[in-house]
Amino acid sequence: MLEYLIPSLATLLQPQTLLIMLGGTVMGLIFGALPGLSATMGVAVMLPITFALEPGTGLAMLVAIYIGGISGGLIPAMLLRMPGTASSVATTFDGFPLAQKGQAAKALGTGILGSFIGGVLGLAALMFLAPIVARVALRFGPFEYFSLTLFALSLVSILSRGAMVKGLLAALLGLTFASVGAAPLGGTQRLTFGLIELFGGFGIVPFMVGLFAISQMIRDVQQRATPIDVKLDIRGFGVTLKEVLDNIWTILRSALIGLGIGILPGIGGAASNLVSYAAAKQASKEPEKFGTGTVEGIWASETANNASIGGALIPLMTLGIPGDGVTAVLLGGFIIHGLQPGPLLFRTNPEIVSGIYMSYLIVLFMMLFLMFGAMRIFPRILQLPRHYLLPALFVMTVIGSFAFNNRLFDAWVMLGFGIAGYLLERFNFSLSPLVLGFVLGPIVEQNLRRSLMFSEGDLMPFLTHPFSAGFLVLTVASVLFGIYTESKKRRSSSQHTPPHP
Amino acid sequence: MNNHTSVHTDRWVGVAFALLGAALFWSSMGMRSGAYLGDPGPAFFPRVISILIILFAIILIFRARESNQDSQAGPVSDDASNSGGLRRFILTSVAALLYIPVISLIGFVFATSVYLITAIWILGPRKWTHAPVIIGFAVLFTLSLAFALTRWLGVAPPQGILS
Repeated sequence: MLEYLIPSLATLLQPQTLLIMLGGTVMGLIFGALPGLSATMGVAVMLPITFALEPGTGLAMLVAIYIGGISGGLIPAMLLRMPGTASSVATTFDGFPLAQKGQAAKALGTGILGSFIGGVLGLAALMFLAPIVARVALRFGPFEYFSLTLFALSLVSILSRGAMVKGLLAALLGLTFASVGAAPLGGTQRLTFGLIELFGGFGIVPFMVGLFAISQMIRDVQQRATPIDVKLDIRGFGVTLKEVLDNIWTILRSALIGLGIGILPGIGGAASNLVSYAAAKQASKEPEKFGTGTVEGIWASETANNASIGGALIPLMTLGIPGDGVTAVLLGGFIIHGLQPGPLLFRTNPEIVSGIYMSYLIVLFMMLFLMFGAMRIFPRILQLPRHYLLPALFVMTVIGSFAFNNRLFDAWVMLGFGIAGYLLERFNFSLSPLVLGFVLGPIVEQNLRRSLMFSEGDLMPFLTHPFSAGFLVLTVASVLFGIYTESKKRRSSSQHTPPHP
Repeated sequence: MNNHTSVHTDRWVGVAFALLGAALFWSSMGMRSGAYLGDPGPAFFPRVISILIILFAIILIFRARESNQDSQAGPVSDDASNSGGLRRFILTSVAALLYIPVISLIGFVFATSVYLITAIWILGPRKWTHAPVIIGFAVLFTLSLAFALTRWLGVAPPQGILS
């Protein structure tokens, strides 16, 4: 793998590729900075556009948007107390008060450097752990893959926002959508209702773009954008080496938390920034200062959410299981370029893997220089007029979905999933289990049927294969944990609710 | 403004899922089933999914009946509930829904320009002094996107049946 790093770097350092990555980083920063847009939406909108690029360049652009999007969320979090993305919620707790005290540069500088350091540590973990996980995963057969994907589905359903039963229903809905078209083994047509366009199933591009981008646009259109007026005196870069060293344990702990949470399927920066903030507050010698503008809180949040990126890429690249919503869309990027993420990717396309590592590193530096250099124009980004932005984005999603298969049917599919995504979130269903169900559905079914063919219908091998048994035990444990947590919540809420007269 | 989905809503959502599960089960009856060399066949997976959907939908309906407090909803816009916001939302949605079939009629460039002008006007402050900027942006954006698609990305946008 190491022998491919330098050639990959040489390819990425070509002017055109650098420009594409820079454009992706800027776009990601804008998507992350504007409340109502998100890194997921940015990657989803640009996904079909990257189809025309070389695989390495296309994936580099998507990684750039991902990193830019997660990092960009700190801008409105600190200047407006509005997190640009869910990954920056905890950044508002101390970033905004610190900026209000006239130390906007310190707040922004700390957040930017925290994002950079978290990203670097995430990348280091990705480069170190991914080959190890891939080597172990090469020993997996259909029994192990079935049990692993079942575990991933159960975990994300139970840990997602809202009631567990809604998470499970969302996952099952995703599995239903994945069943449309040709069955994984044998190619029997299912649920196509005679439509030739559905013989290949729902395309991953219209599915992802509709679910994340269109549903968000529907919400944004409903909310009238309030004029944003930010006047802040931003001078200097705000952060010193001494402050980094003073907070080194917070930084390292937050990176570990971000990594650990990022690796778990279905959760990512959205949870890691909050967990890391809570851990930092608990470990701090001055916990009472949290919430008043302490830099420790900013280090915790921004380091964790960027370290989650590396964590989320580990299961995506080694197992083909997305670690969060953005990596679920990134999975679409692999597929449209004819690449199958998983352990074999490290053997058949090591140059792609190295390219992702190197583009990740290059984009981190781009993000660092762009954000420090453009600190003073951040308030302008927040003033981009929505009534121009939203229709333009909609056009891009329509033409992007059309470009996927050269047919307008996919644009209708995209709209349909957009409406479905909007309605599901409106009724408090999380989209993560739905996405994972759609993505993993064919893998679950194919491996289940293959396993049963190998064992001639015998279920015992699922328990006698050690990894498979382990994943099944984890599945049962996560379901039981979910039931326990939910019944505890319901018991405590019924105790606090006064009885009806 | 009521920011909570009602228990009533969860009940109807459960009913919708139960109907979906039933429809999926009914569809699976027409698929090949039965084990061959251990393979349960293409009908097995949809059938299992449909049964689980019905089961969890029933749980959701019963939970909604038992529940004595409202569940938390996703974000709800205050603007959507007033007539101005609702009108804007409906008009934008109609424009978006018409945009796709109009592309196949008059082609990408014309349809997109018209859509952008319409949507920006509906969503924006609607001042006639902004009209030249809106038209200029719509045309420039459309032509730039068409150029980028054809020249750089090799994607031919739809020309329309009237072309």
